[in-house]
Amino acid sequence: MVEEHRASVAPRLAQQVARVGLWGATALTVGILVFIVVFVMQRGLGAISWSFLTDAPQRSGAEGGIFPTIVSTLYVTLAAVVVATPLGLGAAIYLAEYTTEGRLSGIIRRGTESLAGIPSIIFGLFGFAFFVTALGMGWSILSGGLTLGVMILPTVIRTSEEALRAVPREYRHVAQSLGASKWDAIRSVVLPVAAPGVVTGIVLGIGRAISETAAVIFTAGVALATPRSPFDSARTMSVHFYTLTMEGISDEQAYGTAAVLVVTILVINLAAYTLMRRFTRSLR
Amino acid sequence: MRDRMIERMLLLAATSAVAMLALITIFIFREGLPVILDHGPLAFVAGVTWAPSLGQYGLLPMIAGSAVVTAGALVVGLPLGLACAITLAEMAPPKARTVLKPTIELLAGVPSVVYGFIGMEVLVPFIRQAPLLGGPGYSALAASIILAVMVLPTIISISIDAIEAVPRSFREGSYALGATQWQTITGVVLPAARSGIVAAVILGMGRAVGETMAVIMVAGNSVQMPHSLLDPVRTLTANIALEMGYASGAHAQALFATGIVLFVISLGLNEIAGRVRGRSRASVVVAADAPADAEAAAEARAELLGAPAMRPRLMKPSL
Amino acid sequence: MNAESGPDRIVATGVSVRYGDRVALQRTDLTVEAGTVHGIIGPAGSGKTSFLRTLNLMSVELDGAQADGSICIGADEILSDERVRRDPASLSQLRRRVGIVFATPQPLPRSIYENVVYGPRIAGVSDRATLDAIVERALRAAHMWEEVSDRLSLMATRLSGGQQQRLCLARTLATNPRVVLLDEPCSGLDPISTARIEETLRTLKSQITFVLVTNSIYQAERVADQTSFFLMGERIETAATVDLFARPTRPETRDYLDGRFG
Repeated sequence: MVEEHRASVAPRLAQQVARVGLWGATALTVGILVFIVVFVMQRGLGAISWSFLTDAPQRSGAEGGIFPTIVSTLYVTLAAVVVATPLGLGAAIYLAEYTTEGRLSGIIRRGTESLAGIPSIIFGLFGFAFFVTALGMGWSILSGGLTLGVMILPTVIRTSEEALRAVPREYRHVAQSLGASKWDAIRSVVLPVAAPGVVTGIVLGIGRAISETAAVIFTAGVALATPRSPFDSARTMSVHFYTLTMEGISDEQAYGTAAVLVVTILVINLAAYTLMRRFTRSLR
Repeated sequence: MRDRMIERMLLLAATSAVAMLALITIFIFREGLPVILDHGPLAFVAGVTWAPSLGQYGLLPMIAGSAVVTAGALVVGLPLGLACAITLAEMAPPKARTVLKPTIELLAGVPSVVYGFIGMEVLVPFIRQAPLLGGPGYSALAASIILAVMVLPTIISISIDAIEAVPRSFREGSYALGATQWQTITGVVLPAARSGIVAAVILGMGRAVGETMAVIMVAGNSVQMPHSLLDPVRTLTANIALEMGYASGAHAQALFATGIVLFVISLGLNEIAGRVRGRSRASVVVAADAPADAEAAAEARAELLGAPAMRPRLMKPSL
Repeated sequence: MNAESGPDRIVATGVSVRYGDRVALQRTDLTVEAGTVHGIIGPAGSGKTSFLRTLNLMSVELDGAQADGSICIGADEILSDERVRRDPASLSQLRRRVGIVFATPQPLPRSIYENVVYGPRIAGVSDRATLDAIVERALRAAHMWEEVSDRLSLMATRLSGGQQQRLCLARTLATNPRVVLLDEPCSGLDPISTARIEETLRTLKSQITFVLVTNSIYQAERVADQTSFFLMGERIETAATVDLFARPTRPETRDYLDGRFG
């Protein structure tokens, strides 16, 4: 009896210690995130004002606002979405609905996974060599948007495919048993049901595009003026932030830009998360 | 007829990712391979002098820089990430999970320039002034710490998946023999989830190696072989990003060549991670007996329907 | 539903179905007379569902089975004639002509109205008045018009299980089929819904041939004119339902029926 008791003390102790350690680690991780957000917000929120968001920058960004960068970010992101959505959704539909798990789909998947693992600076190099130079688009919204589009393609494909697969198989059977062709069934029944999941993928891709810097600098350039055509060079918010910081132009402006960036990302992630919850709920 | 056409168009879209990959490979290699061949691959990769103005292109300092920084990131990130994964997968009540998990995933959404900035403003001065540390502050250590935080979401989410994939019967068997939760975790769950966790680490490595902006902002970027963690270092990614703006001719090609090295390393890591993961899925299902088999399948399906698998965790920003 | 189409006679000759290496149905002959309700009974794994789902080619198109033999619906060969399967238009037409109701109710995630008009819409009907008429006819035929006529825009998923299944039947009827296949349609349904569905079969069989796979021999007794007994991938015996139950000629049939009664 006594031996039994002694033998069980050490494991129980270990259990308690482990508990504390594990939860401590989690608290630390969450704490880091909270620290980041608070740090940026604390110093940056003050700099944000209506004029900050709508004015043009003065003196290379040391004063004034960040309006052109907001516009540039919107345009570049839009271009990326325009590229990635049809290609990504199309690919996802093909993978989810039209293939059996054969060689072709295996190759496509491997390709998509590999694309996802490529560092963003390589996309920057590629975009520069291909869009900016070879295709002659120069540093422009188009170059940047197309490059980002390729970058977020795997995200859209992956999320869309999983959304499509989550739609119960029976829906397709029912639609086809009523005379719908395969594509009719997909278009009229499966896609509407999978839509929130697909949109989530696009939203996440947007989040990634907005955060992106290395790929954008070498493709869209750093021009600070408000772009007026897709062939204009454009500086996105993250590039502007990077420039402000590395060139030491203005701490206050930097914090303000950072705050805008962080808020945008938070909102986007929140949107994606809510969408996804609603989607999975609707399937139950 | 119309259906056939639509199917063809969808196939075209599906091959776009592969086509892009091919295009990227072609262009990177086209620009960078000549320099590598001119200098000799060994001299390029093992050379210690990087002096573009003298026509010298040796990558070793940068390779060492990337290696040190990545290793450091894993040393910090793996224990922390694994601990979080265990907490979330095994110990946290469901309500806590639904809050904690997305919060941690939010870490992956923060732009890398913001990470770098905070590193610059907080971490670098801290290292510079700390009693046991010192040095310029801009160092491999700073980069390692920042990178550790940045790869945490990757390590955590993939480890969680690996842990959750372990069939419940394994745990129940352990508890039935009187083991505590911690004993079960270390004795049964973690070993069973081993390949998945290894995959998580490798993928974390891949992301750390590929990170550019945050590293540039805190690592110091001097071209030198690092002798201590407090030395400034330059990584492969930083090498490209810093000089690309003004490089031309052979210099620019050398940067593309750096890109080739980076490209090969990343793809290699991804490939290894993929193989390890494929093996982990198969082995868990095979090792389980029939009831647990259905369970693992059900759990996999639940994972598919639940938020975890839906979030494209590998796709979060990795600058 | 539509007087001029009329029910079809089904002649299956030498039909076998396999999934990879597993043979679900051995060479089977079966004739279903037009305008009758034909019941198919048998234990699980007897091949009755595989057979049913081959009658509208669903087993080969959607379940991944291989099927050989000949199936004639009315005057048209559908199984051994490759052309039918290769042409999406004729496949669609086949499915409208040979409808199917599945074991678990599968309403589409849309309103009652939209569920019923789905088939006709796909077929090209767009005139609102026509669609309204179709909806009313179909819902009346499924004996649920009075229940839902005032809330046709209600989401179909909000209906009870029995209502959903009757909706699925109505939805199938809306495409003017000449044959309707039913795969254990009343399993798990409340008795009232079951009775209503059986009533639909009785009233409509002059216009539609029904093939009913059922686990309940009582149901077969109630509605089927002829009944076939399947066992382990083989059709053992077919006869007029009263005769099959009162005087089964094969011992396997007798064993099955006795087990059920007991």
